[in-house]
Amino acid sequence: MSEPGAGSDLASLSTRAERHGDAFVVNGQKVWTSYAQVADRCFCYVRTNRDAPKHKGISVLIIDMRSSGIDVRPLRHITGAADFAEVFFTDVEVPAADLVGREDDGWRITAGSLAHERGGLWVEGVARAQAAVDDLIALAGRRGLLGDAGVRRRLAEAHQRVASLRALGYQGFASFARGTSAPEHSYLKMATSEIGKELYELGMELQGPWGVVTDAERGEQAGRWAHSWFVSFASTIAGGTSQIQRNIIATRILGLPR
Amino acid sequence: MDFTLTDDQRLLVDGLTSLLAKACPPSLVRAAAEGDRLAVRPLTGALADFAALGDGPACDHVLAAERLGAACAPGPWFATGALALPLLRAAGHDGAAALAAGERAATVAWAGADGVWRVPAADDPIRTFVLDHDLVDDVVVVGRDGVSLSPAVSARPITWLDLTRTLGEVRVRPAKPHPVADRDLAAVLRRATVVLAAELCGVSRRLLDMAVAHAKERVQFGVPIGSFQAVQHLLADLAFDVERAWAAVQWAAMCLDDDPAGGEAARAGHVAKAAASEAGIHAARTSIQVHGGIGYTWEHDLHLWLRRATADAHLLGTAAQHHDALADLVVQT
Repeated sequence: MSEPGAGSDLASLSTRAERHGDAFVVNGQKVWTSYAQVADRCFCYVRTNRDAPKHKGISVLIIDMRSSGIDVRPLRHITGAADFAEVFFTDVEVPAADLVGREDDGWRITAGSLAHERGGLWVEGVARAQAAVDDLIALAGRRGLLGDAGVRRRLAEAHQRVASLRALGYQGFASFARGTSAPEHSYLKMATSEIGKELYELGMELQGPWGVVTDAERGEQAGRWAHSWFVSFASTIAGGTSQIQRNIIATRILGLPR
Repeated sequence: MDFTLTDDQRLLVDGLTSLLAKACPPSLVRAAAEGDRLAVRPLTGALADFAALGDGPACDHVLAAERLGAACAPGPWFATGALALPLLRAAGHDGAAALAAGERAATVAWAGADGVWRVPAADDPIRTFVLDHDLVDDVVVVGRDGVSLSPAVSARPITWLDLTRTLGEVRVRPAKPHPVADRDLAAVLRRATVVLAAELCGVSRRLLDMAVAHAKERVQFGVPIGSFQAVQHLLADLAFDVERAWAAVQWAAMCLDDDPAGGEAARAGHVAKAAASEAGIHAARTSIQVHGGIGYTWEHDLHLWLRRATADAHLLGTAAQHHDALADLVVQT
């Protein structure tokens, strides 16, 4: 999906695919492609009509990653790992049969695929946050902080936020499972990612100066809290930033003017 | 854990919503706020039947309370249905029947001079936070050894932020109590707290709706202010907090119906009121900011709901108090 010039404004993507007989020829560049270096295929959002309004000229192709003309460069991010990659396409031929849905109708697929993803993704977000709360309580115990009224209150606040998010997830899933739209999922995308930052910050803070020590011997769980904090930055950016989620909530749920 | 409303619940919500649209317009809320207690009587009569919700599932009770909160409905429906009736039931007191039938309204004298609703109740002749004492027939006094029912006595009014629900202080006389186990007393308080949290969610939702409506209408710089992202994001954050609190309240109600004395009901009850109190304060703060100057006038209705939200956020425990109580359940030393 993402390109250097198409992040939050995904519909401005410029990787193009031109029809030549039974094949599309793809040229352009993608970025933040998860695990492109190990994938066999990718779903690729391409521009098939440059004359149409930007949302109307997009199509989805399934591309074999071993096709000639594909160059994958792993992208090392701030944790030091490389879970993402840049992908360069130079005259890559894709059989026309590998078009998903109809030509120029790809934007509808993004909306449907993102809604489906959000229908289930909150479970992982809530489960991860609940595990972090349990770990925070254990951490506070190891640090001898369970008698500290301030710490106890903050741990309870964390528990409350995760428990209420889980309830919101159940509520959303009740309507999603019945095929009705579930605006709760926009809330959950925003909240499960934002809460991560707060929980891991608290984990670092509970350790005092040791919160930033990543040494496997000396640091608490080999710097797990600082590492998770870094990882949590990605979740409020990827899949629609928290600010984009607020735009969606404001315009599509509350009906505010664009 | 299915949040989908049953047909009967849908009927309850829709029926109450249309009843309140007619019987509890903003003009009535304002009349109540300006001290016209007579104006509240027809509404009290119209809502009398809903006291019986206190005998039914918590899941239904919170649905009704949310609608009543959205309308900022004055009257003793909360004191009667969520407090007095369940207390008399717990005591096996035959005075419960008249409350459930809507024939009489009652409030409770529970919190002591320090304003804390505790279990076991304080053995204190001075009782505060007696709700809507001027609109009820009876008072249920919660004492160390159980509850007793007495005719409404004259109370000393305590002025507070909420102009649509009166608060009083009474001096109670010793009476022969009907015993209630502490466990049952705690269950009544837990459920009443969740029902109040539901009311607060309704109040908060209405504040959000008022702010959204204003943001769509108010034009500055040639466009509705709701088209500015600075305003949109304020409202999106509030909408999230209101939805989250409402989900937590419904979850707590399900837990109460499943096992009123269970551990999850206890935790979920604290989660619900803490989340609702946070949402209520957030709604008060954000709704007035979005309204700008007009919301700061006495003439505008916003402050009537803002006052109820702030009062509800403090009544039966603030967010901080519920977090501290929750810590005792989830943070094991």
